[in-house]
Amino acid sequence: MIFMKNTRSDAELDDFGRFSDPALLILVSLADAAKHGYAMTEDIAELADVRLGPGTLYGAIARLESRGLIEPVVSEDRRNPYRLTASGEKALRLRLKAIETVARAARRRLSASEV
Amino acid sequence: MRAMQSAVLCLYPRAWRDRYGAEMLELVGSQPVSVRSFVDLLAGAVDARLNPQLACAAAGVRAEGNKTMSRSLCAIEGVTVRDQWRSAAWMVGGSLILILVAIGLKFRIGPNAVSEAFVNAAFPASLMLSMESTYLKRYSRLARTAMSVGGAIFILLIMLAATLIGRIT
Repeated sequence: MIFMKNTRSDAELDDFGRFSDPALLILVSLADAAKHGYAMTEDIAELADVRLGPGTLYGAIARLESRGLIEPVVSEDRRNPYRLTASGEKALRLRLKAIETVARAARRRLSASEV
Repeated sequence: MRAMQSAVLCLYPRAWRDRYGAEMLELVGSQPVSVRSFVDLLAGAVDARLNPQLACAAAGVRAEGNKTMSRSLCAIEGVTVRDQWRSAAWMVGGSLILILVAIGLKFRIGPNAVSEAFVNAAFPASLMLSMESTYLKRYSRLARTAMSVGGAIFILLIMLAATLIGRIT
């Protein structure tokens, strides 16, 4: 996990320890629509070329749900879908902003070192 | 192998299984069987055992919209990692302090019932103090302090009484 200077909301993801990266991937996966566990796994595999195991996926889901960053959608299906909450969306936006800041700085430094 | 994967779900705490068991079983059934996912499930079970409050907190969040979800499954709901560290600090720190006090008293006034009681009560009294941030967390601050500090003092007094009775008989 890359440690960055965070605001309070997105720093929550850092408390997840080894589940920080899976949690971020889950938030990204749920950004466009609600998904159940299997759909999330497939989406993340396609998106980031990482296949989350069931233990890791639900470890991250439990952490996100307990912090109110995602919530289950009422469904008759056994495969319970989840969606982002307003806090989850805010945390995701803040984390993406932090990543973009680091990426911009990294690109700037790399191009400076090439000169 | 698939049967073994499903069996691993039994290693998860009950609250966890009640909350996520059916979904996890569904996911395990829809994925190809592999040693990697078996190990991942095992690691997840260890994590769930170490952090039982997660499923409880999630169930609590969910219960607001679904009254059928029982909160009684959660012995220590709402306890964060920071609370657990605080509890551990009370347990270790309290035990050390009480033992140091006992040693100090023994050096100062020689063998005595108070220092013996302090040594015997060091861990149980510290355990009582540590509950302030875990099992007693659902109570008000005043009630938590009264129960944890009162309990620790009570244990100290019981140990002192036991030591004194032991010396008389």
